[in-house]
Amino acid sequence: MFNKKKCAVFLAVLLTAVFAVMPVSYAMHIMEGYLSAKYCVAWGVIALPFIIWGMFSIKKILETNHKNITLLAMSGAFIFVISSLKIPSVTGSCSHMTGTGLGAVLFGAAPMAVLGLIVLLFQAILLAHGGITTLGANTFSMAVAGPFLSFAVYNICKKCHFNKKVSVFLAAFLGDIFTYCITSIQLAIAYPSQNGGIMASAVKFLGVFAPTQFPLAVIEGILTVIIIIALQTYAMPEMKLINFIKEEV
Amino acid sequence: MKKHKHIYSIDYYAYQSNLKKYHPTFKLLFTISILFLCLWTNHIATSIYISATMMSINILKNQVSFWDYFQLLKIPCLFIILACIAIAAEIGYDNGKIAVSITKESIYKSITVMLRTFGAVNTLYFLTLSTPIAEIIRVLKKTPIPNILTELMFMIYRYIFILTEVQLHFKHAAQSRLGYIDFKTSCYTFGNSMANLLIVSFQKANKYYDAMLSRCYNGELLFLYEKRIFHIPIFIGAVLYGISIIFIDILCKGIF
Amino acid sequence: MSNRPVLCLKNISYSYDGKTNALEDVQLNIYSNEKIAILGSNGAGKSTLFLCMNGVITPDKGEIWLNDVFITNQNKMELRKNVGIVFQDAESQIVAPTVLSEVSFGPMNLKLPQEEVKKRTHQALQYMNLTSFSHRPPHYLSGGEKKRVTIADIIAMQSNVILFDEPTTALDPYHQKGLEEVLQKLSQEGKSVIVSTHDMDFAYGFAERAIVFDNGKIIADSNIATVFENDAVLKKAHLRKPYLFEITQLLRKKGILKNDGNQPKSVKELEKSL
Repeated sequence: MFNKKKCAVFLAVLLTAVFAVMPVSYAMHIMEGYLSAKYCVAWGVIALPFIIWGMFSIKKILETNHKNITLLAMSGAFIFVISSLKIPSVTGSCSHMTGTGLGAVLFGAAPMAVLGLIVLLFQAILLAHGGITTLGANTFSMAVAGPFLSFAVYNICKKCHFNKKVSVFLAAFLGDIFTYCITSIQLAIAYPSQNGGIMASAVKFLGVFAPTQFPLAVIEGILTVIIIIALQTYAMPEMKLINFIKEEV
Repeated sequence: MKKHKHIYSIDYYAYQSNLKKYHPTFKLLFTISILFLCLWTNHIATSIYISATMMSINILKNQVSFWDYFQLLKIPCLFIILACIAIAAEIGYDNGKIAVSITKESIYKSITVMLRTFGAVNTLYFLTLSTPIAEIIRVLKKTPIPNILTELMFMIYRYIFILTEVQLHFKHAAQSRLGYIDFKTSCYTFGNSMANLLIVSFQKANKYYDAMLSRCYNGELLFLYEKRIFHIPIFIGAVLYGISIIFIDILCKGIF
Repeated sequence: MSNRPVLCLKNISYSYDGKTNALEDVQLNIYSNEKIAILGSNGAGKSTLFLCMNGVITPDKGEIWLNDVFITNQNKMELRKNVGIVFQDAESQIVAPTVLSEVSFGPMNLKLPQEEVKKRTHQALQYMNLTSFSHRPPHYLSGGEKKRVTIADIIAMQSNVILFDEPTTALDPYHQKGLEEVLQKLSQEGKSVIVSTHDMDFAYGFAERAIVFDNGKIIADSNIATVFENDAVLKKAHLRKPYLFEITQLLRKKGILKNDGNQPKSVKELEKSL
């Protein structure tokens, strides 16, 4: 065993160096090949019921008017584009929104699961973020867990008559944090700590990604609030269109 | 065909690849099998072998220049390094205190995972740099995946490029008026331009549906595709490549 | 010109919101092999008219007849098959991931046999000089190339009536000239070509008949030269005279050009008359 103090210092220096040099982006997509085959399959199976649920809700939306298909596709493309853009940041590193909180607040959680799946597949193919074998795991954390929590938080806040800005911020912020926690747990289950087990390992992964994910979640929350407020001020007819989709679900 | 800087470069390479002419079903199945082999063998030697071969195929056959390929590998490498540091560093309770430790086993494990991930990323690049998304969707359409999903994929793929273009115009317009001058202004500009983008995209959605209807669209996107070839020697080569991976695996696991 | 109209619109009215009429009591007969320009200011109802003629929009009131067949919701497809629209925004018309797939989209929807689809697609690509582009995705095409693709789309459907919604916008002079040639060629092949445009010179050079819209109503429908002589109509619809037309009028006024009733449609024709 190496000297512990030295190790800690070494790790800290290395991490700082990595964040200083590398652009911080998409760090939360589990890369192709990182999970072994059994976990790939398992997460796929866990995500599947949500996707099926989403498919039914989309079918229902299209049955009322098939015209909604271009609207849904546009929403999907919008989420892809927003997640591929550099967002303003203080440190100068380039980071990206996940768009899941926004998507859940705008379109509802069930259709978002399906759109999220397609967006994740496209991110893997077009941008090499995430992968094909890890699609199931990524779908569960980013297209299912995050949006469902955001949607729930938003609705609870609405029921409690919170300020709209606060509820949107909380939905986006907590959705982001939750996604990040789920991903860390996914990584921890795949690579448990030898003497600490899954929990210790989860803490470890949370710690490694915290410097990038925490500020990102705050910025994501703020941006989501700005977007929603702008939409409500300038685009009531379009907002009604989306609300129509949500009610159908 | 010009390369647009703001448009996704992987998509651009896929259209100019030498391997585009081969059948997408073959390429997809090949990639998935190699990925599976990479995960299943889970050995440093096979991972290095797969990385090396896939990298050379991508650079030589998919015609991505060395420098561009390096750029493409940058972001996956960030994740790989971070996640593998996390594996290498063991956290445990030591007499009631939390202790960070690095052991030989943990380093070995971390390097194995690092190389395996690297091999898999290169394999994924083989598919994405040789096959445009549309052709992958075309393969998916033949599988039992619900039609709505592939339909949405076709449309989303098309709309992504339209929205990216629109967004770029917004960005330039905002920059020309100092919209990104400091952090606070940037946030407002970014948020507002995104809201705008959503409004524009919804207005377009209706138009696009009308345009499809005007050409007798009946709920299913039907297209004619370019002919793709299935070359038997290439197929045999692919099988041999798979066997060679298994062979290396057996050889190495026998030695160690 | 045969006496029976190919397409006949009777008392068409349409409103988007139920309050203001985008189209009001429109009467229109289109005969085969006509060259028509539809003129009018922004929001006069030209695009709505096109969508109605193609069957995408079902009018609130009125009847549409295609080759003496009354169009209902059941045989709307016939209308879409026979009347093709080339949309103003090429980007919004293109759905497919490559040029080849895009041009085949219409014929595939007509449920034609595979061989026929292939034949039509390749003919249309050749017609628009796009064969070398067939493998390209639309997002790597220039504006002019995209326009050509959208025209090839409609050619592949072999519609008898082709509607062009402001085809000259966003085209450079070179592509504009190419477009004019294609329109002439289509007309020579016996198709009815209908162009909505803000470009008076282009309209005057191409069309024989002009229809002027104002606030969803037709306020003039006659020979194009007659329309441009009518100052009251031009003023009401916010139009202007084409330069060539004005020059001819001026030359006649000064007595340089004989008043022989000929209307030169191009500079070359004017030179001949002089």
